[in-house]
This record gives sequence, structure tokens and C-alpha cells, in this order.
Amino acid sequence: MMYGLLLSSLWLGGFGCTGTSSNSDEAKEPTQEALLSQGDLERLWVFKAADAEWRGTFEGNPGWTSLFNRDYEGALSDASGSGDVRMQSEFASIYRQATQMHAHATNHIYDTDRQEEDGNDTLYLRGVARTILADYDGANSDFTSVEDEKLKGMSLQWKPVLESKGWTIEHVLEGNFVNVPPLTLSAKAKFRPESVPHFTINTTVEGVTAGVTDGTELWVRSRWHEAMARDMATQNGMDPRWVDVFMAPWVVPMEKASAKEQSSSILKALKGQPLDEAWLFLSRNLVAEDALFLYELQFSDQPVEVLKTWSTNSVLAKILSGCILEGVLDVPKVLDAAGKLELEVLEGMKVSQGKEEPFYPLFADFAEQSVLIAGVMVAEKLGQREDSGRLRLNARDLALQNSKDALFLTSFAAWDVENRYPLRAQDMVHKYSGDFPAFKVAGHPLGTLQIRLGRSAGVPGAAN
Amino acid sequence: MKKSWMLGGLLLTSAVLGTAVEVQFYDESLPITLNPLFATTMVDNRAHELYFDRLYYNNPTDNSLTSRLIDESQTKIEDAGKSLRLTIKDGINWHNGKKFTANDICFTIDAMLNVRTPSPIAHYYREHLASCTVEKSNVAKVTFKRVYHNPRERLKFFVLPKSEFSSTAVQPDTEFANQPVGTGPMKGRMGTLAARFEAHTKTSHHSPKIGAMKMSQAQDPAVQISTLRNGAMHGIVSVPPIYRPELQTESEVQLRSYDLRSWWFIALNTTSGPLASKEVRQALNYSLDRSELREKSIGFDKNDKESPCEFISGPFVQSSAYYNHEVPPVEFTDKRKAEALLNAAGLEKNGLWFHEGKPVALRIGMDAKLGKEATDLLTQIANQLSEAGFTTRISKISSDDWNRKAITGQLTKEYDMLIGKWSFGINEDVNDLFQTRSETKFQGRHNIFNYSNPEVDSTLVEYEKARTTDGAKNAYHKLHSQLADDLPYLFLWKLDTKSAWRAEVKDITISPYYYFTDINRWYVSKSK
Repeated sequence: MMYGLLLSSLWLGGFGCTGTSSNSDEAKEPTQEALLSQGDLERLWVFKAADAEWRGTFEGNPGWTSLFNRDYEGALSDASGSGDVRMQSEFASIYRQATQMHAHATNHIYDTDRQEEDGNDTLYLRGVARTILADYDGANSDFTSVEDEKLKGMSLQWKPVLESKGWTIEHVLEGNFVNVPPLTLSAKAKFRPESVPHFTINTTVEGVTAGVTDGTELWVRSRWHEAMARDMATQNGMDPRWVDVFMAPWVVPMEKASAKEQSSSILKALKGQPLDEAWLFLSRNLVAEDALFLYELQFSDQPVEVLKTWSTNSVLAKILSGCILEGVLDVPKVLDAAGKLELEVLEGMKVSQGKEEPFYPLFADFAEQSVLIAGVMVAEKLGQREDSGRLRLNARDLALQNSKDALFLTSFAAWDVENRYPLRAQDMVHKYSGDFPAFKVAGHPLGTLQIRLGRSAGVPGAAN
Repeated sequence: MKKSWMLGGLLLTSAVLGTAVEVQFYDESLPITLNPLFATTMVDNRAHELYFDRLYYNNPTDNSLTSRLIDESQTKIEDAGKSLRLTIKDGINWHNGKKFTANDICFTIDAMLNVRTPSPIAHYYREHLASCTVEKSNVAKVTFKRVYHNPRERLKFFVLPKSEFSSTAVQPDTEFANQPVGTGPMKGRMGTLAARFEAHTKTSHHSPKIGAMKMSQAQDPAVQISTLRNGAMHGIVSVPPIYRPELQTESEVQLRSYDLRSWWFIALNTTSGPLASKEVRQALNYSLDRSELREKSIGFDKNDKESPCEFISGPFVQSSAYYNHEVPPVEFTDKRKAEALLNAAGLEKNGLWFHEGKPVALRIGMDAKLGKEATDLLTQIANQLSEAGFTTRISKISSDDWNRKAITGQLTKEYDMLIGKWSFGINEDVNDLFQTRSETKFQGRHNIFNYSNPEVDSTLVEYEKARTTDGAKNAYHKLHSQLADDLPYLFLWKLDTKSAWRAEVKDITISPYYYFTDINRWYVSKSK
């Protein structure tokens, strides 16, 4: 009540997204009503994080501590119990997006940015990329044209995916260069470092070969982490279908159809089911319903309807549905809402605890990030690609160290590469190479793309 | 919106700003020229993005190649791919009210093709462009020297107004360089203390929401931060790293990434006295404690996983495919190695190092604007070299002198060491920095001390002529290795650039390299 009074004295205005719209030339007075009711605010994990008792579940656990400090390698190694499931799912998703990044880079190199040097061997690499990107006809054409016997053999394992027009769980795929550890109930199993480039292909220049990496290896890694997550979920008494929910926003195009097919039944089964808070803590979802809202959003052709449906109990859907103007997500409104939510959470934490702790802002920042990242997903579903980019840039720039989300940043990098812009992706891959050693597999085609674009760019080099 | 511990303070901004407000910001320095054919600095590039339009540009968000000037629906590829027929959009006007026509496009291309236009940028386009013909007042046909799979990528130049020039031999030192006429979102002129901009609204292709802008030369970093905080300024293009952590937690200001590949160096005068000896240059490399330099001048936090500053051992950032990771950076002083090398070079130590009977005196200069990003860097470097037994004399070089003299190789008699930085976008070509200077061949245009090494030259040619991507990469890996051994530069670090803008300035997207590409969208709100 006291918090409500305090807020009402500070914020006066409407529900959901408020503030100036993007087209307004007029500077308007700020709106001043709270985004969320006190009840909703208290449901958020970031709000609960102010409570020492609630936090105690995670505090002191080395895995969660590492994740809070964004030490992903440590977070995986030190995770336990439900934290293990979460971290395996994070790694599975991150490598999914690395797979997608590799596929886009490879597809550009040997398609839009194909050069005279590129010979028949490149068709194998492009075929893999096109399969992952769900261009099955293109991939089939590429694989059929491959002449090298070894590469032909390597392409065979992708054939069933082409025949079934997409990935299904029945498919089994083994890498050629990665040493896959056995599935075990211990999260301590690790991949051995692989050397890059994986192999060389012939170029059209006589006697000259080119080093390359195979995206299959990233896919195999991702699938292994996913399998680990599912096994560990069962072991820990968690419904493994939450792994599907967690990973849905990050799956690659070739999985979309099969993931969509099972989404209705999963959604039906999990609605109303309690969510282990290991799925929420330090995540992009603020309440359990956010996870389900974003899950349904991925597979829907009517994103605005999904927003409306979920806006009664998903906090993110509620906020973002207020940012829709005539069917379009308004970026400035999303930015304003994200900032406001962060401040409301922060103030709420202080009021509820009757004190101010230096780490409150660090948690509150997750609230802003959650709105921005969910905004990215909504913008993409609405076909507002440039707007999704603006939100991505804001999410990247506004994140504090502890809320810098490697999964989101990897997906941003994959998106950039899809747009034929490899520089930010290279920086990201370099920055996280210690946490995700196999990023170097994705980094290889990024480098090739960078060189090709740079050498053919119509702009001069150095400036001071 | 970010980080306030005082919610009440949030909504009561001290500086009430509206769209009529002039948006004021600090840049590293003032532009050297407002004629885009003669841009040499990143400040120039940023200012030109406001005054002019590039014929084509990449959308700063999704990288799509687009044009504000050309109606893409009518663009036609002709002559078996060697020509593009471009149709101008309706209603585009220059800042002076004149209509933008195909004559302007062809004038710009003719000016670049005219060898009497002494523009390095024009030289670059001469490699690709063959001619331009005006077919109608709104139709220009551009012909390339050969078929390109992405011809529009070769048309990213700024367009100049034909009416403002008497000849296609465009010269750098004309009034146009101070008071340009463009089609860009902002019009205006350069003064002695600031460059001013006013929204260009009498045209169909721009509708900036910001009415006016003022670019001022960066002051002392503390002054910049303080004026930003109190609302007297709205933005800083490059925030010194040392101030970034405190700004990141403020509600009034937002830090923004500026995607740019910048690395810092100390160029060595390889023709000056003892520095002609490779061993002496190598000894200097081991005399520097980069770790300490970084800590004291950049404010490096060892626990910061997201450090903006990373050591380099060659002329590329570590995330680049060109960076040779087999060459380790030198992080700490190694006195023993340094002394052994100096002794091998015939120098003698008697308190100070002596060469041919005289104490080695190093004249060190630094591009003055770097001091605003890295506090006391010049002094710190001088201190370390003094401690290593060299006498030093330091001076800061104005931006104007740096651009007109230092990078054009005209300070070889005045200096032994010059501290600077280079910035790159997608094209990380470094040939101009290390190739033997040749005015006639337009080679080595940024070769600071006119360094010349036949082996390096040969590697640079290898890069230029590489027929495969790996060939180009391998050539630059070799170059990296050669330069790390021969040391015409002591390579320091890459440093990320971050801008800070007040929260009232909304909907900011900072374009990689060019910065202001998306300025039409920016606006100022009363609320934060």
C-alpha cells in the first residue's frame, strides 16, 4: 500500500506502454502511472530477488553465482540440480544460434558473395547451410552436385532431413570433427577442443586450397546439450517439455515445423503447471507465463492476438500489447516501457525491503532487458525487421554487465550475419570465445565473409 | 532509460528540452574539411553524413543497401551488367533550394575521375568507375570499368552540387570546404569554434525532427562529462573509458556503442638516428609496460570481462580475421631483453643510453585529441622511456597538423615517435599505412614516417593481388608477423568507442563508422 501511494505520486498516466510515439514532433509531458499493479510487480523474479530468503535458493550456489557474473564456462561446470538443466538449455540454445550464424555466413560466402575461387566443394558447405536455413530444394540441388566422394559421404547424413523437409527428433546426426562425449547424468562431461579449420576444400585456383569449418559440428554440440538438459530434467523431477519452451525462441529454421507441430500439446500440458524458478532466475522471462507467451508467439501467425490473449497473465505480453499502435509495435514506446519497468522494479524492491541494496539495480536491469528482448521477438513476428534491429541495439547498449545475455547477443550476431554484416558478430564471438570455445567454428566463415565484403567494399580503409 | 536510484528525480529534468532546442555535442575535434572528397578523419566522416547524402548507403540497423536519392524501383542494369541507369526521386532539393538533378551525380563522378582532383577518395573510385552520362534531368547512367556483382556497393560516395563548382578539377581549399551545400539532413557551416547545423526541411527526402545541432571540439574530459551531466551539452561522441563506469549507472545519460574498429599505435621514425636500427625499435617495444599504460591512461579494470581495451601485436583488432594470433602482444616491460637488444645495436649505457657518443633523445608527439580519451598517455609513455634510459621531449600535435603533416609524412624531421590511432569500418586495408610512399601511384598515402621495407612491400602486393580469400588473409597474417618484428609501429591496443547522450535525446541509432546516418529519426523529448 505504501509503495502504491509512493508510485502514484510519481507516475500519473495510463496502463501499459505510454509516452510519446515515434512520430511525434511535439515534446509531451511524461505519463505517470505505474506500468504494473503491485500484484503483478510482486510476481516478477527480479522483484523477488530483493528478498534474501527467496534469493537464498540461488545465492551461494557456485553455478548461479557464475551465471550472475556472466562466467558461462563456470556456470556450466558448477551448476547442480535444476540449475544444471537450465545451463544445459542455455548452452543448447546458444549453440543453436551459433549454428544459425554459421549457416548464414556460409550461405552468403558461397551465394550472394560467391567468388571465382569457389569451386564444387563449396556446394557441400552451402548445402549444409541451406538445410539448416530450411531451403531444402536449394540444399538438395547443392548436395546432388557435390563431386568429391568424401564430401558426398558427409552430405549423406543430411539427406533424411531434406527428405522429411525439416528436422524431427527421430533424426540422428553425428559430426565428423567433433568428439561427442557420452550422455551422462553428470554435467561435467565436456567436449574436447577441436582444431579449426576442420578441413580444406579445393578452390578453382590450381593447387590452392581453402580452410573451412563445418556447421554440422555446432549443431551436434547444441543437440548434445539439449539431450543433457532433457535427461537432467527428468532426473530432477522437472517436466522436460519446459526445455522445449525455453529453447523455442532460439531454434533454427529447419526445426520450426516440427517444433510448431508439438507446440499446441505442450502449451496445453504446461499451462497452469508450476514452473521451477530455475527457469526464471537471471533469465529473459519475468514470470512463468512470459515463457509460455513467448513460446506461443514463436509459432503463431497472429502475434497481436497472442499478445492480447496473454496480456492478462504474462507481464511481458501486458506491457508489449500496450506498445502496439494500429497493429505495429512502436519502438519508442517499448523503450520507454522497458525503462519504466526497471525503475518500478527498483523502487518496489526498496519499498518492500525498507532499504536500498547496491545489487538492486543489477537485478532491476533484467526487467528492462526482458521487455526489450521480448520486443525484438514481437517485432520480428510482425515483420518489423528494422525495428527489431533498433530494439536489439538498445538491448545491447543498455545492459549492465550482469544482465548481458550471451544467448541474446549470439542471436543478435546471427541476425547481423543474416544481414551480411559480420563485424559486430566477430566482436561477440571473440569476446565469448573463452566461454564457448566452439564459437571459433562459427568465427571462421565470419572471417571469410568479412574479408570478402571488405575487399569488395566501395569505401576506403583507414581514417584517423 | 536507465539507472536512477531516485525515481522522483527522473521526471523532473533539470534541462527542459524541446524540438526547438539546439542539440549540442562534443566531437573529438572539429572537421578538417566539409568537402567530402577530402575527408581524412572520422570527425570529417561524421560531419559529412549530416551535410551530404551518399548516393547509396547501408541501413545502420539491418544493413540493407538503400538510397535516399535514387528511386530503386526504376534502376536498370544495362550494358551486360557494366552500367546502372539511375532515376532520381522526385522533389529533392539542395540546401540552397536548387533542384537535385542527374547533372549533380555525373558532376561528382566526373570530378572524381578527373586526375586533377587531388583526392585520395576519388582515386579509390577511379578504380571502379568509368563514366557517367546524363540521359534526362532525373536520369543518370553510370558505367563501371568492369562487371561487378554488387555495383551499387561501388556508389557509396557523397554527392556534390555541380552549381557550386566551376570545374570538375575540385580543389580542397575552397570556401565550399567551410560552407558546403549538400542534400543531407542538415545544412550549415563551420566556424572557428564549432560546426553548426540546421535542419534541411525544404526537400522531400529528409524531415529531421531535430531543428539544429552544434558540434564543438572536445574539451578536457572532466569538463565534457560535467557539461553533459548538467544538461549544457547533449552528447559526447567519444567518452573516455575512465568515465564510462560512472556514466553507465546514471539515469540522465545513456552510453551507446559506436561500432568502429580502432587501434592505437606509436609510429617510429625508421630513418632517424638509432631508430634506424631494428634492434633499437625492438628494445623500445620491450621498454614499454603496456599494462601500466592501460591502467593509468585508460582506467582498465582487470576484473572487467567487457574491457573496452585489448592489447594488439599488429595492425588489426583481435576479432578481425586478419589478426595473426600466433604473434603475442608484449604486455610488460622486459628490461633484460631491451638492454641486450640495445647493446647489440651498439648503444652504450651510462645512466642514459648513448648512440655514437650522444644520449639518445626521443622527440615524441601525439595527436592531441587522443589525450582526451586516454588521460596522460603521452606523459606516461615518456616516463616509461625515461625510466628505460632515454631522454624524451614531448608535444601534442593539433588535429590540423596531424592531418596535414603527420599522416602525410611531413614530420619526419621533427619527430622520432608519433602516437596516434586508426579507425576502420568493413574495409580493413592497411596497405596505405605501410607501403613505400609513391605520390604518382597513390601508394603509402598514410605512411607516417615514410617507412620503406621491400619485404613488407612485397607482402602488401601479395595481399592486393590475392586471388583467394585465404590468400588475402594469409598475406595479412604474414604482414602482421613482419611488422611485429620490424616495428615501424609499436602496436598498443584496440579501444572500443562509446558515446554518451542525454536521455532526452530519443530514438538514437548510431550508425557503424558514419554515426549520423539515421539522424532523421532522432528527437528531443521533455521527458527522459
